[in-house]
Amino acid sequence: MSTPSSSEELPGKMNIPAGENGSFVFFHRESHLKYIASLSAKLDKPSSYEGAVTEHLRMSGIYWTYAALSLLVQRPEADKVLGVTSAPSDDRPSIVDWVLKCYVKGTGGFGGNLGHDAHILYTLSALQILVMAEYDLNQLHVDDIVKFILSLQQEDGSFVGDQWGEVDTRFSYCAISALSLLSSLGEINLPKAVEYIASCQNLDGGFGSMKGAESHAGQVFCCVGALSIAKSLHVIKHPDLLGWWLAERQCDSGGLNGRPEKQADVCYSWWILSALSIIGRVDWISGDKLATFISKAQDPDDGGIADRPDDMPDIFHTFFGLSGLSLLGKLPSVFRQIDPVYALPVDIVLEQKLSAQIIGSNGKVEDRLSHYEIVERHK
Amino acid sequence: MATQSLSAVVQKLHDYVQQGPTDFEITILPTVMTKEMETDELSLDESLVLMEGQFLGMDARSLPWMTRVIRKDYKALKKKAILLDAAAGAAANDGSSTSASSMTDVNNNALHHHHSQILMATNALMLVNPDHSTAWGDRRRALIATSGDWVREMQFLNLLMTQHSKAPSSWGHRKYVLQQIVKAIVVVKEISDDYESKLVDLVHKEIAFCSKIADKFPKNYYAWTHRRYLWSSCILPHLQQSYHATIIVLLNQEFDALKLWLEQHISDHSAVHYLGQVLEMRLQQQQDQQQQQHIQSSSSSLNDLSISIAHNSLNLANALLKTHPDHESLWILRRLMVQILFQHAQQHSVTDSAKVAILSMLEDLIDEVWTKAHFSENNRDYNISGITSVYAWSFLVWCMSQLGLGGQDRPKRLLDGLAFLQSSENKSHVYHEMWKTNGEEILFAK
Repeated sequence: MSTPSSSEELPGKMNIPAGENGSFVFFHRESHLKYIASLSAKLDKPSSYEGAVTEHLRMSGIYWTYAALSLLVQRPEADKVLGVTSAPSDDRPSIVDWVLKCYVKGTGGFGGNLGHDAHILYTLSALQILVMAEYDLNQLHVDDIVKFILSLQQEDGSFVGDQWGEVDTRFSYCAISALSLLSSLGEINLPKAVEYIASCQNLDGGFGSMKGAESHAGQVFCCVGALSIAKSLHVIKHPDLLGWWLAERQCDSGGLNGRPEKQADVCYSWWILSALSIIGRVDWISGDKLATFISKAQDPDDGGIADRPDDMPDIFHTFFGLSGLSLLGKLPSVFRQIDPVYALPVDIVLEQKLSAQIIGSNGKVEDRLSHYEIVERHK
Repeated sequence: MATQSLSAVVQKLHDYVQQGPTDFEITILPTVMTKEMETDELSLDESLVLMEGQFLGMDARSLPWMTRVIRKDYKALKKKAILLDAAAGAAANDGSSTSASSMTDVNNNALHHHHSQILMATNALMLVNPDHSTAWGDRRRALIATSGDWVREMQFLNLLMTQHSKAPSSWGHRKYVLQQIVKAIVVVKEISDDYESKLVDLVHKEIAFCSKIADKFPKNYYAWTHRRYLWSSCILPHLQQSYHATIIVLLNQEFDALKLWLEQHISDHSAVHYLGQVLEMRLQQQQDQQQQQHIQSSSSSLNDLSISIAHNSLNLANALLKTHPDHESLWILRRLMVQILFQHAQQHSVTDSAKVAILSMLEDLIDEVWTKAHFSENNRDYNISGITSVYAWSFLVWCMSQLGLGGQDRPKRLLDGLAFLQSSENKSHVYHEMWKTNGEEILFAK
């Protein structure tokens, strides 16, 4: 099969291998494109109720949209569809301009929407969008942003989300990833940050949102991702135990849940697969069964992916479902791949020369991870 | 400048929230949606209903238009805030002292009025968009500026969370409010003779609230994390020094409460995890007590305590598993108890006799479970369901490989377990992939 030179030549619907016996599932690329392209028109309408109740996280919503689109079409087309660098119409700014407008002057942080307060969550999303748009981050108030992030680190190494003091390991990940994007990881007390994350390990091998909190797949990704960027995976006391906990998330349906005895949810395809990729244990779950679950959660007509089969799709689950399929290696190689550490297209990670650490799997490492620092699995 | 009047929606919500009893709940109406209902246009009176003085009903069909109106009020106030800031800045820069002070008075009044309006508008906004973190920030700023009642604010959160239990920034707000309440108690510690009881009372209230939310919204991550947070933010920092016994009482109360809870919520892994935290803290307190009082490690009473805690913990899991052997969370509970007790038995401060007693309890348990699992296929006496077998074997290989339990036959038992897990048809793929490719490595690493 010859590689198409542009996304237009890619089929709207394709087969994804999902079993040893040659079975496959359908992937509705065209429908997903339609779904994504229609999102902003739908959400930005003043009368949109969904838009209203998600207004506060629009920055992250745009990141999920842009990143999801990046996995389906080539870069120039993604930029055109969303109006990333050039304004799509007279009454709508380009995404880059809009992101820059969400920078809260004098604080060093970005808000979730225009006029919203600075927060580490939206600061990371903003940087991720800008980096995908090939915007030169040096044009930002880098010193102020670094100072903002620095101000969020607590004495025990943890991070709060903003001036109001809520601690969560999600914020540790956001801070460390954001600083890495700004080539300023050395500005915080990294060993202390790592020490705090390490203290959030539970007896079952997983990580929670703070010290003593229940292990949760989303928090596991945040902690493992942060440790990977900080090149400190060695603080994971028992990687086998962590892998075991992650593998136990796979349900009979093939989907993954976030904690014991909870329902499978497509978004965990990302949180768990990326963590497993980083610790070199992706083969501990059945990729085929998972791919089948994700594909069943697609809406074949209107596009998008839902949290589980037969539910309504949303952009959050669409992005993480696509990312899951990408990490499983199920999407055709002509598509851009997602990086499990930074949740950005691999080509962007390479261009930006972002670094991280990965645990190798008996000398084997996936192509997409081979540029990272590899540590071998130890007993 | 002209003061803006807020919409009827915001006014009405404010009145209802103010009027309501402290144990009000929010209910979304109608409880049953029929096709004919979709085209109705509801009035405000039909959209916000006080039911039997116990519920505030909000009609789902009206949420879109009410949200629009509420947001309009909020956004107008945000715009005004910018103007007020500018005016305050201008007054500060004004050279003339008399005009400056009267301008300041006018500004202060305008500011105070503005803060009150922000509180009213966000009172409504948070009920329709509880994760709007900037609005929570506006609310905090307004409360600080008006020396707001933090206990009252906690009641507002209690009401909100009867409907919205998963908005992260609302739980962040709760932690902030809690800290203000604790601060107020601690700051008068020296002159207050009921400092301890005030703190304990607050803790009980928060625990009761977490319990209520966890019951209505099973396995709610935020509620259980908040409950754990109480220990690190309120209980341990402020009671550890002089009220050690109180901490032990609270821990024992939590242990008993969780025992009851698990009997009624048998798939609740959040409760299982929290119970593990309580147990660890309980054992830690006992060790601290030993050190503080310079008790010789041969003290038999503290030893007995160690052993009896171990006994109670294992029995808790045993009792639950007897009636519900096919629940993953309960097997995890058993495993967690074993792990914590094993860890405890490794501590220096634990006497040899307690160590021996505890380890032998653990080995007995392993033997018992192994016998059931191993013989279940062929012996009717031991017959256990397929899925229970999977959990039992999983528990066994975990304890044997991670803790070194399993006695002399450990290597053989591990291989038996591995063979079972590699071929199990019950728990789908997990047990094939992981064990097929890495089984021996995982189990025999130690």
